[in-house]
Amino acid sequence: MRRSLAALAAATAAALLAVAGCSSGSDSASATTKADKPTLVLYNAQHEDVGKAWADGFTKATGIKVDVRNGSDFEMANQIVAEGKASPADVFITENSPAMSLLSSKSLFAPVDAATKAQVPARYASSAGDWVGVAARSTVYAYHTGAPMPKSILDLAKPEWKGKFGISPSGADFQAIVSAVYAVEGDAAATTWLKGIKTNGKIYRGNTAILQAVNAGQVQGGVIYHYYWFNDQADGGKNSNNTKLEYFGHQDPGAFVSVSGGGVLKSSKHQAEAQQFLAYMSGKTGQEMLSAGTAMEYSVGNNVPANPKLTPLDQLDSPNVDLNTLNGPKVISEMQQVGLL
Amino acid sequence: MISRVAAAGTVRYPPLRLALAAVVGLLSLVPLGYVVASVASAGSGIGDLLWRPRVGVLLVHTVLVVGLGSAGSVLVGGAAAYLVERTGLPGRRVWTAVLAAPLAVPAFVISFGWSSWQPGFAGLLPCVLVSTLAYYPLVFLPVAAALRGLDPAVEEAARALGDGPVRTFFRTVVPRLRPAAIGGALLVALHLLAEFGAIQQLRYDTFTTAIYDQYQSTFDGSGASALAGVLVLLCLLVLGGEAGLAGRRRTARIGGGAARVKTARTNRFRYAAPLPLTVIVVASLGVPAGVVVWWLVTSTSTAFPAALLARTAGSTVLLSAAGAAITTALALPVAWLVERRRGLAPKLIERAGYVGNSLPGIVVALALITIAIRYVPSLYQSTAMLLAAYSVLFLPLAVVSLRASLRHIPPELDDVARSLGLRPAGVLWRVTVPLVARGAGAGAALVFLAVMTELTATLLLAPIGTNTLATQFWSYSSELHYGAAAPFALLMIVLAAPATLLLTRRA
Amino acid sequence: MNGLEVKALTKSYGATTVLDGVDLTVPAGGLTAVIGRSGGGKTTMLRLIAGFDRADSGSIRIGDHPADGLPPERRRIGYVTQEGSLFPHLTVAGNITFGLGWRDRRRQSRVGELLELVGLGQAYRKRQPHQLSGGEQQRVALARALARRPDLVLLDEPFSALDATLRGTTRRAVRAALAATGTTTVLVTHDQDEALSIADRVALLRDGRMVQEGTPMDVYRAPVDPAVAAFLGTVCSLDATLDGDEADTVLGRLGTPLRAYGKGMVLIRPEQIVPAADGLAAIVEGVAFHGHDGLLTLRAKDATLVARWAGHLLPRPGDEVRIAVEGSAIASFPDTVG
Repeated sequence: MRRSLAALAAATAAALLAVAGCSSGSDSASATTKADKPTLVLYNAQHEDVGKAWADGFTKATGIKVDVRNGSDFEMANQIVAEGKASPADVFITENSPAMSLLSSKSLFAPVDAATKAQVPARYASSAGDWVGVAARSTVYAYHTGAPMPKSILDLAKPEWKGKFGISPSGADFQAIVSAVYAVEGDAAATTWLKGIKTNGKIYRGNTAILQAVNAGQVQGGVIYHYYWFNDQADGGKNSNNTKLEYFGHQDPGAFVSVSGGGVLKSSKHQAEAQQFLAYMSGKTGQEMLSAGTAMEYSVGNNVPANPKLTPLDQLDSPNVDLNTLNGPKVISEMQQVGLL
Repeated sequence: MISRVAAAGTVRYPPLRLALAAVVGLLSLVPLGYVVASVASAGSGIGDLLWRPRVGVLLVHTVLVVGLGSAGSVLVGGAAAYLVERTGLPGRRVWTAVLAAPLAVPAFVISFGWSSWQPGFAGLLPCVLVSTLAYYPLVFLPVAAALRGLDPAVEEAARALGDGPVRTFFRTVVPRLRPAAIGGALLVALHLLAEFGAIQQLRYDTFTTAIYDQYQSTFDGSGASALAGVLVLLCLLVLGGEAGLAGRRRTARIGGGAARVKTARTNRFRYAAPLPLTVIVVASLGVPAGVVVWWLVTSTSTAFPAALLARTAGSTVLLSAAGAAITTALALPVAWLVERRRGLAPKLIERAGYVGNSLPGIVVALALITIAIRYVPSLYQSTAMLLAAYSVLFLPLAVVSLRASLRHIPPELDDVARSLGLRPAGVLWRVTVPLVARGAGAGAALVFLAVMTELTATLLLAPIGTNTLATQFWSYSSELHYGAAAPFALLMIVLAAPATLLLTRRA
Repeated sequence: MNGLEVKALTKSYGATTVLDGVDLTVPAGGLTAVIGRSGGGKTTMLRLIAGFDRADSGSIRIGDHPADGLPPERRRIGYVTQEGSLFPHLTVAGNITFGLGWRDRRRQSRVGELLELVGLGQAYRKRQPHQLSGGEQQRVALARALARRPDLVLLDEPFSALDATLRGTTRRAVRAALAATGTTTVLVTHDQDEALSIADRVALLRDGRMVQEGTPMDVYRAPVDPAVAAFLGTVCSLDATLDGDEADTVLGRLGTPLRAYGKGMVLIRPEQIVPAADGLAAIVEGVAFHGHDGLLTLRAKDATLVARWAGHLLPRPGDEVRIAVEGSAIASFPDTVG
């Protein structure tokens, strides 16, 4: 008994020490490198592997270490709002622009370096000049081969589509698409549409789950982003071989191209390095990692054409949406009222 | 003479222990305070967030999952206990260990097994099935222990009074199993109220999953707090219901019973019993384990990133061990006060612990984050914060185990030790601690398992760069990268096995 | 010098007064048994002396130092409970040395000597408490209490959990050990035989007050009231006409301890009623046989009498016997109405 007790105590002490060591590990690492280079903290709401690829590439190129905290768009945006000046984040990247607009509206971003802004077309950047696009994705309707498809995303609210398609309302992707409908169609029409979607849509968690269900024939089609389909095709198509994609085109709100943004936090203590990281992601190297890599997201940088397997952005005939008018919090609140959240 | 407790412990509380216990109690109340405060500060807006059809749907869903899942667990756990203990089934010990083994498999791994095998496996009934498969051991263990501990003389008396075997069973055995079954059902219900991973995976919505969705969309918005408020009320309802059903008796929890009487009973189910038991084991262990292995072998996304696996396993074990040690240490003064002193303070402190335990991890995490950002920024995103959350979440697991062992220590031992020249701290260290070591071990094992499979609080609170097996598994499996997720699930089961074995040995 | 002086001790729990001004003095080296019914405050008094609880008022002096306000660990006491309360996680030696310093614990100093003192062999050193009989546990508990050479040993019903045979031998062993060390002792018990047989002095506590204190013989032979008399042993009460130092009863004229006059009652012990060839005739109504002796219920001249006779002398129910009284009445009480 005595001995086992002592062993328990020793194990406890060891565990505590080790945990203390773990938690202070990054601190001491940053302390030792402080003399030359700081460690950046990236709040990454993009896909984990995309964020990680950029962070690793940047560290390789500059020797500046990047710690990554992963999350989702609005979670992290609201987290940064709550953290305020004390936020540990230096750089924030998202999957969709509404979360960027939210921080922009609260003046939490530092202005983007002019040279960085020049790397990205203005339509893929904040009109306020405080964040730039780092990637883009197109809304698509994935349908089981042979199943009917809607002409417009607006059709999905009609009674004949009841139970025929899947959506993932808890994700920022679908929320961005909803915000585009609001921006293009106006509040009243969009809310009516949203109610129809609530009635008609089958709820899934995440775009991959929708694609899988469509492929398995559990549902005729679903609203997703294009790269889920291309990724799965590249992986052998287990979840997509029975499906086809419809780009709505015709400047339909369903043809909305969502921009993933990147920005430097005003509260960052490493402004120069953070700007350097943002420039890297939106610059040639960072963008080519997208177009040449397996992410299948669109690159947005000047002179970096998208992955050749994708339909080029300028052929999608997407609606013209001022990114800064996409109102994330309002869309969330509307979705709560309708009951999608 | 005054009763033993009052004689040994009168009104005075040892100040240090009371202070420690009070701090622990207050810590447990932080999340509740957070929910109340944010609901209050949202004011009239909260009405719009609560009075909408969605909340009604969530309420129905939550009640269904909790009610049916608890009932299913009582049925399956009770039947399994009967078959193991009362049929003379060969290999009783092995069956007991195997039937308790799902404790080592997180509910979200069981749901992963079923739903990744059968993509259409989603909705209410699958939720109930997975809940039952994941949580029936919480009923099975105490009921089996209670069955073992029953005095056979009572049954013999009933037989002598003219009752047949079936009548005797229902008139004398079942009533005595009630406290154990109800205690187990309470644990299942509380787990299910806070269950996130499995239900999310099976594409059903309860308050807990909805709170997570709200969080993902708004961080600490009032929507999440409003839903959490309803969830708190549901928890109180469950706790109240249990109190009403079981009265004040809370016997035979996990590891509670002692095998006093060994009677080899045999009946005609002896050779039929293995069939239903095998079905239970296959459904709860075989399917998840089989599917995990299948994905490992066949999936294109399968990878064995050895460094990542090792690092993640390492941090999981460290966090779980530290969480278990700290929580057990914090539980000691609370358990001591509750067992040894009468009065309002110990009771309030213990109840506070239950409140913390019944909240979903995400609410506890949100509360701690909010408070840390506002008042103690240095703790924000620190390991200490994560460990504090684990303590709030799992304190009662340790308190229950410690109380059970404290109850077996006569209070006179404390007096004798004092008379032999020890100060209270010395008594604690040289008498109480060695004597509760076993109970503390069981409590620590429970907390260890709980921390290892904890998902939402860890997702929110883990310091940058710290991943656990559970969070890593979750992030891969929600992207449907089954092959990549599989090794993490497997490691989780392997690492949880020893602690589970420890618990079943005691039971 | 006195080993223990308790003065005007009071203690209440809520509205219930448990001790109401208790005084108790134990001579150094003496063994005083505090007896009384359950709920009479005996254990409370012991706990106050030990320091486990605080008195509402009054003072306690142990040996040559005042104990008021001291925590138990600084009162230099030994404490033995009803169950012995051995530490289940320690061996016999570990238990005995529990109160000693770290060095003495390692060396197991004095274990042999103490085991011998309480009449146990060296073989017991390494045993676990659960391997001991109840009596052995109590001896170890005493050895543990004596290890620190306390100024005062408190025994709380230490023999009541033992069966009859063990009780006798354990009692003798404990008495011998205490006598050998000359330790001042307070024994709390509800068993008057125990108190009378091993104590130097007996103190009777009733309803929170000390009713009587004295040597066992004094208290047995001269109880202050019928209740005390009855508590210490079976009594036979006789209606009497009190006449100064004597009283007239159905059994003739008896000496009384107190001078009184008029109608009243006297008490005698059953063993004072003996067979006498020329005595009073009485009918045997009942016999409670205990082997070595027996209690007779007798009827003589409308009075019911209780007598204790040796086993071999016992008659059968219905027999007529002739009886007489030896010695004086142990107490006499005039009717209070008069």
